[in-house]
Amino acid sequence: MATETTREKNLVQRFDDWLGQETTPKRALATYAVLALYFGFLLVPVAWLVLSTLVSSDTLYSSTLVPSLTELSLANYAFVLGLGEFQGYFVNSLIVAVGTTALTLVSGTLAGYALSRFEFPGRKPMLLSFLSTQMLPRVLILIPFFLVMLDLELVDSLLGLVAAHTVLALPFTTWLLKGYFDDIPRSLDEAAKMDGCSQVDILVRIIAPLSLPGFAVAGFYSFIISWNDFLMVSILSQTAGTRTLPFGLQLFQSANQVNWGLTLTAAVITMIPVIVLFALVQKWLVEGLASGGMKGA
Amino acid sequence: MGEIDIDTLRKVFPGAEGEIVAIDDLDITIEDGEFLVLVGPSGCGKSTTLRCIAGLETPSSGTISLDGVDITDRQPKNRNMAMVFQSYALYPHMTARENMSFGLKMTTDLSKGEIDTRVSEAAEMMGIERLLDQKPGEMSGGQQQRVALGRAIVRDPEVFLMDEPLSNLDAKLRTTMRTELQSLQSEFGVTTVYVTHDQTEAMTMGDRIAVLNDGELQQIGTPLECYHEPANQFVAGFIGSPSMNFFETSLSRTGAGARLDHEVFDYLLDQEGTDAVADVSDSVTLGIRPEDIELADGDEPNAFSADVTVTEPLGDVTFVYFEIGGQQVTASIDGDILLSEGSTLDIVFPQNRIHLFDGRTGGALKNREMPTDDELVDVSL
Repeated sequence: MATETTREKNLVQRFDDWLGQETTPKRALATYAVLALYFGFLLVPVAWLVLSTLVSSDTLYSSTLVPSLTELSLANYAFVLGLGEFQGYFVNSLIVAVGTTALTLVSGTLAGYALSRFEFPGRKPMLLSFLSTQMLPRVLILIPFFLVMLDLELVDSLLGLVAAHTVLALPFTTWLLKGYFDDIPRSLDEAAKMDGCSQVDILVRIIAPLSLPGFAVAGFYSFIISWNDFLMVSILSQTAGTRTLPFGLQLFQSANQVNWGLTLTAAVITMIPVIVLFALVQKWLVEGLASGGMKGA
Repeated sequence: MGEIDIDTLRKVFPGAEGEIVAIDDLDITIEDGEFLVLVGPSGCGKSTTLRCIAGLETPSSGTISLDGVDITDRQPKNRNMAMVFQSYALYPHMTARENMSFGLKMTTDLSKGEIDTRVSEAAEMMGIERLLDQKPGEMSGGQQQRVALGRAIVRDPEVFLMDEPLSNLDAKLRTTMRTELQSLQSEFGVTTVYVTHDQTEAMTMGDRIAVLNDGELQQIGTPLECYHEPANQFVAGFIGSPSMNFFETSLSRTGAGARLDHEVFDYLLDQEGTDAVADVSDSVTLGIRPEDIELADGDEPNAFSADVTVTEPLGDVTFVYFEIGGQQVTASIDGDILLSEGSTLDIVFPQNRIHLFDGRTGGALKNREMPTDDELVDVSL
């Protein structure tokens, strides 16, 4: 009978049953082996990337896969970080990403709250239009976007980059925050009104403190959109004064050769702020992604 | 002071299939210090009325005045009212102390020390001193309820508004809180408007109750007035548990007086009843409360036989269900009388206990006699 039951179940169901069984050393070993394989697949390239930044060009181009400890040095980091142009790009990236995050959070919060709490003509079309902007390839809007920015005299300015990145990040963050605000009972707004709050007071004193995980997700998303963007920067930035790190990776390339050691080092330095930020907001991110589900209009 | 005057209040909501009238020309005056209960079935407009008083809904027309001042268009914060919500609506990120002091911080210029003192006093009154540093998520439903009440009390408002505040509590706690709420209200003497669909709460808590149905005020009066002298068939059926029994009858007039003809029994009205139906042409609904149905010896006038289908012994009383003309009729009789299901009993509806309603409009034609003072004393003993 039991054999018949097993035979009737498909592979997924049998795997599900296997997961539900009590843990034994053998099963634990199998689980960890699969996990190690999976994370190895994800992390080995990153580890190799970091390792490559710690060796000289000669070692990098040699056939040695794992260098000896004596060959490791921070010379690449010293060179990249000491490069004035790179420092400028780093500062620009930081200004633009922080500016984008701040502007997106403020605009997304106000928009998300309005869409969550108020009924007004055009509300649903507006929500759908936010969503539809995400369906277009970014390249498609480059030229009209550039012309608009040119009219606004925002080309080749950090403010222009902040505005451009905010445009990219805002639709998703608005949807995300609207979904998060929808989950907060309206009776809290009403209780706050009875307690003497204005609409802004309600948002600042009641809704915002309850939405920190949502803000963490939205902020992290905006920061990454801005930090990693190359496309917008490549058309809006005309001089070194407004270039950001992804653009800076080109510093170590010429028409004839690429200095991989320095390029990879610059890439690692570019990654670090995102990893640090993720570590800081990780707890809220998980909570925010789990509870601030996207909801319909 | 806290006299509320609601004048021809109307609230209409847009709906997918046209407008939905939530409140239709409501007129109520609530005296200063009065405990008024708004009661009615779901969707009758009681919560909308309360929300209009609070300022959380804007009336479509009509006015609401507080102590003679029109407050219809005032923001909730400018009405000096405190509200207790069905879901308690405590701010989850604040401790009980912060929840209670929040309204005072937002609406008064009191110093932190004064606010702390008032919060401590209110907490002591509600017996929640130990909870002051806990957040709502760490409290039970009953404790949250107390904090929500404390939050309202600490404001020292002119009016308390309560929207089914006990409905999320278990039966035992609800009974306790009901008594506590009544004592608090009488202690403070603050005008209170209390919304409930629970008629036990309505009967036991309010100085007066306002019965609403389909957005219209059906009757406003003391609980006993609404119970003994319902204005119409809806109020008669809504107030009282188990509900009043109704029999649709046709009216015929004989030399001895008016007679109500039902498919199972005929009921000859006395002079008072005959006078009551003088202006009615044909159909009359006869109403009798379960506790007013009496067992007959068989020779009383208007007595008839009925089959017992179910009995529910509760100890002091027994609910007996009869099948009369295809409808279920409930009687509440002395619990010491033993009855078996399937037996046939002679029952009678005493003339002085019946209610008569116009079969077409539902309006009351005759109500049972109000209990005498002696009877009321007996009840209280």
